[in-house]
Amino acid sequence: MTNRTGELESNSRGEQDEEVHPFSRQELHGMLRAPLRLVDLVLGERRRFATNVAQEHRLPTLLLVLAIATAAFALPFGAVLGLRGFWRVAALLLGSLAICLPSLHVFGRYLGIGVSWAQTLVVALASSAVTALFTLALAPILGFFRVTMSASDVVTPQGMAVMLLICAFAAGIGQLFSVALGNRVLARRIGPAAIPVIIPWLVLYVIITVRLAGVLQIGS
Amino acid sequence: MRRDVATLLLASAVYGFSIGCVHSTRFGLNNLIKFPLLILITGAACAVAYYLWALLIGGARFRFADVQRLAMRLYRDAAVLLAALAPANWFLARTITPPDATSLHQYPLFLGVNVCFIAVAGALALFRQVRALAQYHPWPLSRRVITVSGWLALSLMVGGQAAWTLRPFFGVRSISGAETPFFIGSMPDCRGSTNFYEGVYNVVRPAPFAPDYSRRGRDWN
Repeated sequence: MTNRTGELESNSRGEQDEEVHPFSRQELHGMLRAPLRLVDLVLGERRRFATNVAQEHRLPTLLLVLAIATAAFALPFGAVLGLRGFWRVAALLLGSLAICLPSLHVFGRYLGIGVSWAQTLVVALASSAVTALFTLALAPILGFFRVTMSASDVVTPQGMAVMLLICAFAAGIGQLFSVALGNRVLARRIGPAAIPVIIPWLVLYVIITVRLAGVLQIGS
Repeated sequence: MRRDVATLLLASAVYGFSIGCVHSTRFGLNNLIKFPLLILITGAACAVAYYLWALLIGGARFRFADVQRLAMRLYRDAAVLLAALAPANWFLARTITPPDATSLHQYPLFLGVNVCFIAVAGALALFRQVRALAQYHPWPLSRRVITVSGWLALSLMVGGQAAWTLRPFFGVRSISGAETPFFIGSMPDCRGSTNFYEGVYNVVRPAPFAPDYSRRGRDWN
């Protein structure tokens, strides 16, 4: 048991010390052909992803991949909410990000965060992509609720859909912190202003998202 | 993996039979199908979410099959532990004072004992899978606990509604088994609840004030 623990600890140290290579263009293009490999990009290999952002390596391709992933992965949840409005959740994710992104970048620069427009956009899109991925994972659960729940005064399938959507957004916000602060290289580049910028920005993001959800009639 | 699934189905069927016998052998036989079905529906609906949750918390490269294996072993362990309690449970089911038209008698006690059984089996299975996760990645203990607890919370959220749809598993014996459908679905219960969450809300919400509540607790009236 002790040997096993020692082995695991040494493996862990080895992983931290080894050089991290960013995702190449071939890998990113490969993800467009096999979209489920995007899970590795945003969740499985966060250190490589952070290296891409920190080194500004293949950012345009990364932006394209993340934008397509966000839109595509959000469609099933939207379809379960209502076939005619299958696009609404994808529009919510991309729309709220588009509205709030300028404030994140400009305030970040003003307070000393040394990242470019493209880097800010990639980090924010990674957060939306994780939200979209979780909506994909929660779509079968929502489908199950819609099939098994009938009209009720207290808990409705629409209410459960909103609750699941909030869970997915929470996962995306967690990813935003994880990417922005979890990687040493990127955290050094972003600097100590990260928290004073991200927390107030998240308040704005939540307000805008809730308003946009109302406009798109999600959950009503 | 196949052996794990077979063990899970068999063990859950055995436990399901023992709880159904509190009503009748007919309910017990129904549970041979319904209880494994409950676990299969819950596992299938949550499969992708388990995987993404493990990746989100751990940040490590996991294979989808590994996560499914770990999550399924959580169910399997709990089911095997519950199956081990099935003989005792069956004995209790057949010997409690059954409900009648005037009172539920010892039926609530049987329900309470089973809640304890499920809680103990679930907690033990949880601890074991927290340890098993270390074999896949050397995460700190806190991350493993959060990962497995997240799986459990997700399972409770979906499993609660699945159980509500597939009910009755227990059943008050004074209600005729011949008149009860195989599963009730979203038909309202005695409090009017039509889904699991509404059922929980109706159980825990405070009782309404009595019409004369403002006059109570005073000496003058």
